[in-house]
Amino acid sequence: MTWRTLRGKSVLLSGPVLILAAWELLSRTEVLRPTFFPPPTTIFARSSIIFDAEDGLAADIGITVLRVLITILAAVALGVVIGIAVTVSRWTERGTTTVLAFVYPIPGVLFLPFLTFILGRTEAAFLMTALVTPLVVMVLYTIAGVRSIDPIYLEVARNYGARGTRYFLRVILPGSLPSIVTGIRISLGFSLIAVIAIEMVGAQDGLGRFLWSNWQILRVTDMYVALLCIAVLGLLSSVGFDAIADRLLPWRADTEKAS
Amino acid sequence: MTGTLRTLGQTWAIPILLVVLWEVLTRTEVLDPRFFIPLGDIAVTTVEELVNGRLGSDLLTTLRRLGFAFALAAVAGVGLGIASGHWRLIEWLTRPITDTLYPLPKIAILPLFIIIVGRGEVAFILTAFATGFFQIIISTRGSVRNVSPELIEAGRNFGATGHRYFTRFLFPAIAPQLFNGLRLGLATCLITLIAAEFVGSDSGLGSMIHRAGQQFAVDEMYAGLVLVGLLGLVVSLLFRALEPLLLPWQRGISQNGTGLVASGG
Repeated sequence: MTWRTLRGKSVLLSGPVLILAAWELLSRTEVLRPTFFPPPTTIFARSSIIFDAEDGLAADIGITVLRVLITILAAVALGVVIGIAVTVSRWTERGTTTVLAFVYPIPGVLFLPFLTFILGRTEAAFLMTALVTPLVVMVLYTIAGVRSIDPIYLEVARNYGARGTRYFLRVILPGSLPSIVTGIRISLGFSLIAVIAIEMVGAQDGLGRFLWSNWQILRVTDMYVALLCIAVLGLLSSVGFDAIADRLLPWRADTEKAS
Repeated sequence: MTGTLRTLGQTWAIPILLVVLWEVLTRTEVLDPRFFIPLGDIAVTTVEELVNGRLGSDLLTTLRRLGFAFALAAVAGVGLGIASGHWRLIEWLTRPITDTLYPLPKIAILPLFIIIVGRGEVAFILTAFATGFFQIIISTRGSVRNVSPELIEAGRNFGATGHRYFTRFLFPAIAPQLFNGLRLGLATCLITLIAAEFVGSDSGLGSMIHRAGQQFAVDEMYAGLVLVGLLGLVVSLLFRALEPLLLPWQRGISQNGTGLVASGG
């Protein structure tokens, strides 16, 4: 570890540490009301409830993660297939994009009432609600990915006899992969937002539910712990995902820069 | 001309087909009429509710909150974004916070805001503000960092120093990316605001849909959904219309939609 990297790390840490220290101080001296802003050390100490058998925050975390994973898997599988399928013709491609541009700005959670009408207050309704926005994003990014392939490659592939499934699996899919991966990263974020929001209003378990029920009984410290967990999940879904994606697709960084 | 006509057809053929299909399937009651309502009826309900019902005031409430939240997010985000792109010290202080909180679903902070400032307008404005703010500060900082060092040097040599450096040099240089960041910021602001209203408020478009859901008022629920979709569309069209007016030199450059959709929130 050279002096330079050490200095880089210490600088990166000094900001948050400074803020946490100030928060601690202001909260302890009651300049900030400790009811609303409990000292960070209290929050960290309280984090032990994650492993508490009774409060079972760990179970809630597990359920939230599971929901996010199921939605993202479904969104990727469906979105990539639909996205590639509609690029067959300009008509389907442009038309689908128009429809999705209308659906996209609607927050996914708004579809919850409609889906609970049809499916009842079931897990299926929650998962399908969470699926809406990630699916839209996946389709849009897959279309963009297919469009980003240099037409020359497509022509060469055609000339060398790539047809049917082989054409899609060997040419279209790898070519659009960088854009698809970016889409997955964004979908993960939306999926987490939707799952938390759905848990707040609908589900009986999960981090969102935990947050909401502790809000109703004003257990602020527990809310901060839940927020901390959600923040970690958010970081994992963005920074963690980037780290894995860059390792699996080393050429991604270059295409990111180029676009 | 036939080219643009063709594009127009390609853009709208499937949406129109879907609308017609929906209309036919609902009128003939192939789809369960309890859940699927003809678009004509939805339109009538929307207009009726807008004029006589609560929908009009809900729409205004949402727009007012959006206005406040976005204005605050734009000012704070652009200001801090430029400052942290320009001065290392400010970047060191803000970056760890913005990078940590950016991927946090802001809807999760809503309950906390409600506890701290009460269940009033401020809690919802703050939640929407947080979403837009992080989006805008990060893209603004990126745009300042993206200005090439040669350009900066040339600018300095031609006397762009002091406040003139910001107003005459830096601002025009980052304007296109800044504009794009603001567009995405507004979009995420709107999405989070409506989700927050859905979860916790008793006024605004989001809460209207929640209410309709609880009362099994399917037509009102559709009216709300259509209105939210239209609002999103209007917001993005507004920015598309403003771009050639505000950034005339960008005409034709940014046509191929940079940044497909917003992320985070």
